[in-house]
Amino acid sequence: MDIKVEDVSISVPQKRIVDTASIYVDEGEFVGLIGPNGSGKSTMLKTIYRTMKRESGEIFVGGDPLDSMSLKESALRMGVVTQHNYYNFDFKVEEVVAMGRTPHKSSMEMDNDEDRQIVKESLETVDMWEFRDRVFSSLSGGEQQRIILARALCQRTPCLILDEPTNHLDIKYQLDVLDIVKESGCTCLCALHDMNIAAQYCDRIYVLKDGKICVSGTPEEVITEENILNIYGVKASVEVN
Amino acid sequence: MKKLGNISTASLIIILSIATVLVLIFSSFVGVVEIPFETVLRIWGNKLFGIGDISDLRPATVAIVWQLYAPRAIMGVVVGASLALVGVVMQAMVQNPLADPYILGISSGASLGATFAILLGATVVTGTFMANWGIEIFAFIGSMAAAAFVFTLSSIGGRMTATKLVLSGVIIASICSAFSNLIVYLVPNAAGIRSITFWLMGSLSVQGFESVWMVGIPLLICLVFFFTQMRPLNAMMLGDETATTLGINLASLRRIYIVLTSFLIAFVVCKCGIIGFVGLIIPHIGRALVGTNHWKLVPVTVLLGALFMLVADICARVFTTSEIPIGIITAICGAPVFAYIMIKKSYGFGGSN
Repeated sequence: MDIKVEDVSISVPQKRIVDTASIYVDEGEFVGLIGPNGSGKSTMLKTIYRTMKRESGEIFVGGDPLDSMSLKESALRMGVVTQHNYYNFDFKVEEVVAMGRTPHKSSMEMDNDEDRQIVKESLETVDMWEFRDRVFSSLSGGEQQRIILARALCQRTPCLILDEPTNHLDIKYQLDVLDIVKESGCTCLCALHDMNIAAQYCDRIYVLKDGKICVSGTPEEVITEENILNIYGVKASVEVN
Repeated sequence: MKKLGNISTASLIIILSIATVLVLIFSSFVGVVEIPFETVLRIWGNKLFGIGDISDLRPATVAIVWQLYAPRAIMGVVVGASLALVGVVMQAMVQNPLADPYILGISSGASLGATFAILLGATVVTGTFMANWGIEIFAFIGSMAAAAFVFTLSSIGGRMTATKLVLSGVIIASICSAFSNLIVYLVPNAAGIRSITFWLMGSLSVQGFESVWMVGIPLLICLVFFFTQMRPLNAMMLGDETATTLGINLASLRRIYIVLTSFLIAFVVCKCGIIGFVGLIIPHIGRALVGTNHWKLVPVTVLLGALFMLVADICARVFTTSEIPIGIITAICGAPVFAYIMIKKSYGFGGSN
């Protein structure tokens, strides 16, 4: 299932955050979205996963315009992993992951054996099955991030939207999380901070600067010394491994 | 999260149900007039199921049990269940463990209405025909108006978020209490002020069966509705953004929840005044027992609320010859229980354990 973002602009009062940006993610592709802080990466993703409204432009998921879908329908197509997850109440790890089944169920339907099996598989995928009875808030940041990923996997969606899923994680956890995402075979659109990581995992990369897509292409095309200087204002040397 | 040894949620629900029925019957024979337990049972059996013959009993005895004690006991169950249910829904809806049924300004709206009615004379407006109902009607109008204001205020300028709901509640509550105080300050009426104070502390007294129905029917509607809402309630507690990405239409669900719970609580408040603490602590006790999952939490909380209210009402009647307002009892009994749960490390209120 592909994701197509066409000429999307997003504004908050007195500021245009994203300006006529277009992004295309083909079926099964892992596409990275990079750019300096405040360049509009998160806002762009929020608009795609529908917690922010756009000013103009059109977004298609699997060929259908987002506006024609109910939230439930889009939740069946896109799983979302964000960086900040703090809950005011105690949830068990297993319960947090089982929430991923929500869009598949009517509001009064209980989880059945199939759902529990999917929850188990998702937790095993992120290697956290033995944490299932722990309280979510008692886990470390890296562990929590993997649980949130398990919840998105549990949604069994063809697409995944990830907003800096590796933030604040140790390098090992960063690689673990992205390996799992990559192996899921989902169509992925992922905002990333770290250019090394982006170069390593992405099939293609879009660079946002001041709300505009300024460069896009394969990692080799995008991550060059010249681009880094233009975008981040930093002199860097690029070596290909 | 199986606390309490290894009692499953199902057996906990059964135990609580049985306990509630037993305390309900017990409650209807504790009172100023001493009536043999057997007589109470016979009257209940006859009135509810038509079994046995009670024509040999004095009509006064039957009247006391069936028109005074029984409605009051059932009112306790209904009010306790309502407050607990709305408490649990509010806490999920605004994602805040400090939320209670009155968080949207309903109590202060009702107080303003009642103050207005008592001090400025409800009979002036409603006429002598409805003199007895004046306070209740004004309390009801006040609470619904407050809820409507909170609702409108939090929807202005886009999305209704949990934070905006809570803040709007605080704003409306402070305006309402300012006006209540203004009325109290401007109208020198010592007797009136005393009756407001008493009304504010809450009471289950002098309730006929018609009052029970007035709260009972909205409660039944809410119970049926919220039993279809377990998944959205669970997802809501993960926050606005996550709930949306899980396909929950928060904006429209919140509207429905607010309208339904406001109606229920407005009926509770206008019939029984403001009974604090129940809606705040009972959901937490429920969570300490069965965890945060609403499939288990809602039934357990509703039963706990009913049971707690019955026990509090019995305490209110037996400790002194004159009756203590039940709001005082719920706070005195509830606070230490709440403190105990908080100190006990196994329940973290969502903070790290």
